Amino acid sequence: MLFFLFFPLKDFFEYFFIVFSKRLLISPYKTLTTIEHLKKENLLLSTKLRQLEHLQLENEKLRKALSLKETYKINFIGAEIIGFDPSGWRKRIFLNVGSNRKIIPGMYVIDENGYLVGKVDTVKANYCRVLLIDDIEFSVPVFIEETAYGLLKGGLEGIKILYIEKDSQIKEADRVWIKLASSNFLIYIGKIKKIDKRDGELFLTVYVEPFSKNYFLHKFFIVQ
Amino acid sequence: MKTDIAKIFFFLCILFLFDIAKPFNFYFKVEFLFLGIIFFTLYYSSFSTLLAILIFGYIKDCFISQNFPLNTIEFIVIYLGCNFFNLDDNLQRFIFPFLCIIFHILIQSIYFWTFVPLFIFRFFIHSIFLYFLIEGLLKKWMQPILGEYI
Repeated sequence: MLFFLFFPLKDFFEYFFIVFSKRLLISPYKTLTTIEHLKKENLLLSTKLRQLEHLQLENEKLRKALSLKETYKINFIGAEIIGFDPSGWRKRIFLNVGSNRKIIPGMYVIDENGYLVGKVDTVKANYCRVLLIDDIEFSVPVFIEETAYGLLKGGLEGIKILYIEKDSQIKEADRVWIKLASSNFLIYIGKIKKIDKRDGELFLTVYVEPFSKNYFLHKFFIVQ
Repeated sequence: MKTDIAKIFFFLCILFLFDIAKPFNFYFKVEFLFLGIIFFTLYYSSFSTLLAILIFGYIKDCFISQNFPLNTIEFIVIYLGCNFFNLDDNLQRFIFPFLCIIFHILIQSIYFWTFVPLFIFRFFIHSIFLYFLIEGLLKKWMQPILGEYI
């Protein structure tokens, strides 16, 4: 009799002291699980955020390139970097477009801002090799604003312009550019960093600071 | 033995990929594969190392597309030099990487005919720093192979 009388009470006490109290109290195990779950969620969201930021940046770069294309009516092909030259002495990169996209040696490579990055050197079926402007074999005839012209040459000590006459009216921060023969699009390379005047020499040595520096972060376009 | 060869090839492959991918862009003036070859020549001089040196030297030359196999010859000279002098003293093993890097700088500078002191200094410092880092890491990983040397 007593057993039957106390049986539901036992159930009640069991529920109250064990199950209900567990719900009221914050168990350390549950907290740890929640924290772990939140950490995972946080990591996932931050990865997604970074992906979105990257996409936004890429979108901006492509928009810039598109506006260049529309303004100057030039044709260019977008390319991705697939590798670097393994030698420490050379500054060459490999791009993922080749003769399959009608790339030929000598074409100029620009970044999304329209600044010169390099010149196509070798072309294969699916890829091409580009000499960057600071490679030891890179050379191109350039103009300095509207005042002078010379030969831009890359090298390990920096980018130099050679054969500029001593009496030319150039100054520091003047912009260096080249012009495409096919259109009126000016490709800017950089600005003058230092002008070296030496006695007994016919020409000036001009050091150039390129506008396009960090090759990792850029989108590349080959001007056709 | 097969594991040793696999380890050497695997590690040199990783270093070569580092050279191609240039994770530090052009800021870090270093050739990873070259440093790996110094390490294996110094601590694990065997036929498999020579084979790896030949293969990776050839691949590097193909990538640079030079007419002259400069890297293959240079790596073999380093290997033969190490074996000729029979370096087993700790001090000799400490000095050998310095000599190899100077030799590499000389060869490359003469080949490309460019002598830029600032670049050479930076290349030397970066290479030495990274070599000792690689050595520290690899010694542990290659422990079963290098057991008799360390």
